[in-house]
Amino acid sequence: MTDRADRFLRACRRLPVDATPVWFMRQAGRSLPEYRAIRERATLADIVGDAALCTEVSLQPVDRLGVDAAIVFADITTPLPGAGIAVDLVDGVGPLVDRPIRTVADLDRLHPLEPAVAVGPLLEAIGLIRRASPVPVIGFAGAPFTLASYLVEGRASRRFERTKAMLLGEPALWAALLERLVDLDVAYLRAQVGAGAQAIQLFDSWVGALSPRDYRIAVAPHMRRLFEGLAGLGVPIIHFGTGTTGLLEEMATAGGDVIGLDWRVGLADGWSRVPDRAVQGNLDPAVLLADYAAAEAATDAILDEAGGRPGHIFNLGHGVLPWTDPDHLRRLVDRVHARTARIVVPG
Amino acid sequence: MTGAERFLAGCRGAAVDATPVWFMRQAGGSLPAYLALRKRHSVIEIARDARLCSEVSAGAADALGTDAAIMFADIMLLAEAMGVALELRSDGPHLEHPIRSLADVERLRVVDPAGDLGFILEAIRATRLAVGSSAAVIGLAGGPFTMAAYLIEGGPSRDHAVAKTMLFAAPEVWHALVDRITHATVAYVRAQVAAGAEAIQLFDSWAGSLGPADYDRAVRPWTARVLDAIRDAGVPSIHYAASGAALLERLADGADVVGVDAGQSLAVARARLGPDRAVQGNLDPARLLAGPRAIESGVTAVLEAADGAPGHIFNTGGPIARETSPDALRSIVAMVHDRSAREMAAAAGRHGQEVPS
Repeated sequence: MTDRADRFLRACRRLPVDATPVWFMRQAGRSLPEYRAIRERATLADIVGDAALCTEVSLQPVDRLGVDAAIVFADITTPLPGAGIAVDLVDGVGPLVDRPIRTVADLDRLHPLEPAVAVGPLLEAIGLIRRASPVPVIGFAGAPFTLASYLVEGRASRRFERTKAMLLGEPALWAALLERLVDLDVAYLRAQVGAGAQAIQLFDSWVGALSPRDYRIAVAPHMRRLFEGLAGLGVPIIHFGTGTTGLLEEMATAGGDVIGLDWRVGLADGWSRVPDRAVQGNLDPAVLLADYAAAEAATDAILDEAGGRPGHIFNLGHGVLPWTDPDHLRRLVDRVHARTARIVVPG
Repeated sequence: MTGAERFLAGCRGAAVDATPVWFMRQAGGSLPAYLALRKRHSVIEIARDARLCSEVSAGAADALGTDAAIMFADIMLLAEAMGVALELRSDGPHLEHPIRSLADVERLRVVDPAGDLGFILEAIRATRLAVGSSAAVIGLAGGPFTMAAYLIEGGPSRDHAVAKTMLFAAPEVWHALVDRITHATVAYVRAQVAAGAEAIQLFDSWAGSLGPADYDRAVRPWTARVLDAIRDAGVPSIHYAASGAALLERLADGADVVGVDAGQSLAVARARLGPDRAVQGNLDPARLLAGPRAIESGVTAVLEAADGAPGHIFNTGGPIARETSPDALRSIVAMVHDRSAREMAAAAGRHGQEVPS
């Protein structure tokens, strides 16, 4: 029998499971009262810098929501200070990069990452979560384009004009920046797997801002090098972005065992574009702000589109919104499990 | 062909002598005449003054050499006419009292375009006179989701979470609101066509933030009414949404031209929509800020993806940034016209056809 402990990892590999696995991006965080209680006395940086606290926060949703995977609590900018880039995480604004990277000279401020030194408590937390969690632990990193967008813009952006100006107008500088970020990601993620992470999610959250052609030319070669750098780790890799309907084939070609779908694309439509991969998704996080019935109806529709095919991991199309009612999340987990429960012969 | 003929033939998917071209948000921006005007007038003063508005709208087409003149008019002028107090800031509209309840919806006024929006209608007439046949005059309106999202959020939003919450949790309020918006929009687009608009672009810019099933339920029936009204009025409609790749076939339903954003391949979009549907797009507007080489390679890629087939209107895949250089825009117009004309002449030579002149 397969059970809660292994349904997530089996689904990543498109093996039959006893019930469709569920977890939620940003499941640890503001929607949980026990998290908000901790945030009254600790900042984000405090939590990520304290192995015990980080472990506690990462495990909160596993207990309360009954999800099938834990994800280590961190921000995608967490490794940057250890690589020489000061980042300020401001509530409601997002990461602010003290001195953005705009020139070849700026590039020298981005050093190679020594994970044991730079993110020691986080790695320790992954080991602690692994030991305490009844479900697998996911490590993660921001993918090079998305990290670069913060480094170049200096903050969250809507149109990514400076990032694109570098990518399109200064291709050599762009390539040099992405090479450094690939190296950073490889070191960071290998260390997370070494510490106990059983799967990896690459968040290329903003890559949907690019045209397929620009992705192919300016991002895909770096992504391939990143996937090569992670080959042989033996853990499944989830490749996620938003606004990616036009990019799904390119992203899958670059790599990933599981392709993350946002809510803009129908699950069956999205899956048909990446037919040889597992898929993760794709409930609109905003549906959860409404009454539970609306969320359940939308969830059922997604499960119908998945049609019981092996290789579907239920998730939102992006992170849990801060003011989401955690009881809705809990009920959705149960709903997905109950509606997809089946008897599976191990294979 | 004149510019107006070229653009309108492009909308119909008919043969053209060169690919028609214009740019979303081309009116205003960094054009010197507009910057000079802005020293003396606010954006809203210009938009509400028929003479100034037509100067800016016609002046942009003339200065850039585009085949169409889009009216310098914010989509939220219609919301103002519905009795909504708002302020247009550089990041978008901000409302004093966002719409959150049925009572709020019921307070919205029925719009009389001739009375409430006469300044735009007069500006359309003046723009037609000013551009003559050198460019077609495009009127515009916001699509139902985008208008409703602004009215509910009360300002710009990244995830439209408040609007979506209403859509999911209070569908009766949502339906009442989009119904009012649609009613006003239908009257507005009819009046624009009567005043001389030769095409209407429906900007449902944020509709791409909905999944296909939610779009079908919460937006599509109302959009269909607006697109039908444009068709009945006898002019082509252009239907645009950002991040619209997953909605492409739905956006095409009832529209003459589909606006394709830069996040998808134009060749894939054309293949999905078939040869009978015209498309508009889809150069990434960020390229216009990245230097001449980035512009040239982007234009080349878009023209190659369009493959010289009829029914392509060249445009950016989203509104251009205000700081975009007019020289860059002029260079794109020349590049698109020259290259497509050469290609079409060569293809016609191969096929023994006449190229319209």
